[in-house]
Amino acid sequence: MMVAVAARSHGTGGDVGAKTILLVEDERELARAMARELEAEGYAVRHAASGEEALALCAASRPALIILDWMLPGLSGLEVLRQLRAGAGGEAAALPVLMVTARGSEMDRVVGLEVGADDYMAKPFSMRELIARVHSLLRRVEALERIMAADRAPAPEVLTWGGLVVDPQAYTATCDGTPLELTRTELELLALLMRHPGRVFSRAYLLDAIWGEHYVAGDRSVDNAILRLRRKLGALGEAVETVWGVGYRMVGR
Amino acid sequence: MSLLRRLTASARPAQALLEATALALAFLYLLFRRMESASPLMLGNGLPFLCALAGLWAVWRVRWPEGSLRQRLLAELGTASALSGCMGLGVALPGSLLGWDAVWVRAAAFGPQLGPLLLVATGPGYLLARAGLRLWAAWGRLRRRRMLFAITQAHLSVVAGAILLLMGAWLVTSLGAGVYAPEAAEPGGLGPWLLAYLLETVFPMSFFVGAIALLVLAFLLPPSAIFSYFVARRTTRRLEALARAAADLQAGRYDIRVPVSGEDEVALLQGAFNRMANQLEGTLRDLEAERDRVSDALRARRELVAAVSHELRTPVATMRATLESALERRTGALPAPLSEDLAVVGAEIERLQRLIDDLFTLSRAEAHGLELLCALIPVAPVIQRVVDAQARLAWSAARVTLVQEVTPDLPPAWADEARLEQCLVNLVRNAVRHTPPGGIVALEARQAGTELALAVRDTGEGIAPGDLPHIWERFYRGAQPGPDGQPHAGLGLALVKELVEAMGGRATAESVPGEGSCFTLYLPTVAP
Repeated sequence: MMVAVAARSHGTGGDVGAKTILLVEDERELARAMARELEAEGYAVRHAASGEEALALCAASRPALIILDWMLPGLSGLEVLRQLRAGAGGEAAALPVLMVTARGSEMDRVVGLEVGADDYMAKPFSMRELIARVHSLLRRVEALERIMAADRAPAPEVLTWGGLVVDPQAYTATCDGTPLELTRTELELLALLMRHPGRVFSRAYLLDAIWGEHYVAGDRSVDNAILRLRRKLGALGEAVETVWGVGYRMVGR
Repeated sequence: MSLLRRLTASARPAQALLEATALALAFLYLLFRRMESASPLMLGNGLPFLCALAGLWAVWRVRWPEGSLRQRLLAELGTASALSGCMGLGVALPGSLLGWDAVWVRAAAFGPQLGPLLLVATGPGYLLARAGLRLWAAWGRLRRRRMLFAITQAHLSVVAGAILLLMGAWLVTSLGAGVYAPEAAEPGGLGPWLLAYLLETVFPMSFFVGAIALLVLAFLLPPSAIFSYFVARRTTRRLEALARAAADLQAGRYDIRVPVSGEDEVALLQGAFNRMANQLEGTLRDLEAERDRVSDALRARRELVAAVSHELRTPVATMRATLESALERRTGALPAPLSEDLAVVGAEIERLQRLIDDLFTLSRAEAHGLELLCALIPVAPVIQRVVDAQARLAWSAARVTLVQEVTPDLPPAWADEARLEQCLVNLVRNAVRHTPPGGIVALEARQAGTELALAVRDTGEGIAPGDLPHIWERFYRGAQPGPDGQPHAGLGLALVKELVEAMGGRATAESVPGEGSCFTLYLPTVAP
């Protein structure tokens, strides 16, 4: 059974239909009240009343967040979550999931979090709390996406670190006034590290942020680039630190 | 009596041998002094009596050696040889030097060679007597354990007693009066008369009677044992069956019964056993049924309470959600009295919710608490499982890389495997939540003195020094929320600390704001 709840615009939440929330709840009346509340906040809501339906809808509707009841007929909420995290819902494996259940005991809560729920609410809950948590979870995803987008984009400003000056816009770098011969990749790498002194970047993240989808080489390309960069930076090369063998960072000044 | 017991088998061999030698010398001297007035019979019996006296004294006094059979055998052999030596060197030699050897030189039966030989033969005699005592003790044990041998002994004692009585009567009446009675007219008073009586009558008679008794026993033992076996077999078989049945009953086979055969005391016992087993079985069945009824009732009640409190939550949740939504959005559209009434309904719903919570807490309190199943477990597989399970999620949800650093050849840790995994997962998820994209979370395992340290280290935003002492407290949320605006979970860390301490370990946290945090679990490497 699939209940498509028509999106109604109360106009309080801004852009209507911008984010879809998958609501998995077998209590029809409760689902209706929750859907009404979420739609009033400007979210589009898809409703599933069983675990199987939830998995099917998840693949089809690409939701931004899932609200999942634990006690469902057939496939339990916990099992749905386990399958989602294992990749059953396609790209939904990393989606934020808010568990909602009448099983409020502590151990249940821990089990839910362990399987991969991002947050947990015990029934009965207040609608305000539900909305607050949904906002919070979505903000977290947005923050992640914002940071990643910023890390991928070239820095708008000129960066300095000691005698090192990098202009990401002009693709130039000088060390104590001497121009450095850096490839595009090396320069982007250096710029990213210099923008956040002290922050650690794992090899995998650097591949993702700088090589993007074009890289074909293995992990070594990051290490090789760092090696070349250090050589070209000369004495300043020591400022690029290796962390636990899998990450790099610019030491704080 | 207590003195007698204290003297029995209590002396070191050397002491007992010394005593025996002294006794033999004293008696030899006594015989030597009385030699002139002694009869040939007295002289002839004197030396064997001396040997028997010294030998039996040693048999009585020497304590039983300890250790393995071989050690004991060697000890007894040593004592016997020493006794022979004592009698040869300590009695025969000084006797011949002092001239006391006249006692055996003059006796018609021995002469100068045979006398010392008899003295030396005390050692083997000692060995025989000790072996006989051992045999007697073994027989006693056998008799106490098996009814068959008890009956054999009873039977033998009757036969042997009768024979000995007859022989005694015969000796005293027909022969004893004529041949062995001491001459009443012996001069010299009571002492010499006693010595003469001892050597001429008591000693030979005891020797004779003892030899006859042993002979009789040797001949009677096998037929008597066979006879007793047939007499006792019926009884012992039934008693053995009863003993087996009782053991079965004790082991829990309550349907066991024994067949009642005959009308004797054993049959009475069999009947009583069966009645007892009947009653026991009946009572037990009743008790089991009662126990099942009670546990069923208890379980049903627990399930009912849990089900009711669970079932009640959902309608209350629906009511509360609907009402809240109505009051929030339509306050202007509703007439004031209705709005007030709805507020009252809302307050009552909240009260109902609290009542349900109480009910649920009550039903949970009856269930068992956290039960730990601790054992010495290798931690590397646990860490591998946690990394395998969480690495993908950490990357896809937060772009955080999860790595592990496990020192090889770690000792096992004392922990509950499932709970330890839960603790590590909680710490990892906590670390991932507080680490910006691109960051790293490392799960480390290393030895720290006598403990095993499991650390979850991150390159996250760190914890403010003011918050650090409170992070393990229940429901504590940091002063400022994380970078994503989400407050800390507030429960996971408290649970980790509780679990680790229940396993006999401890949990610590350190952090440098801006650099990262490190949560470490220390577990014992030996069972408490």
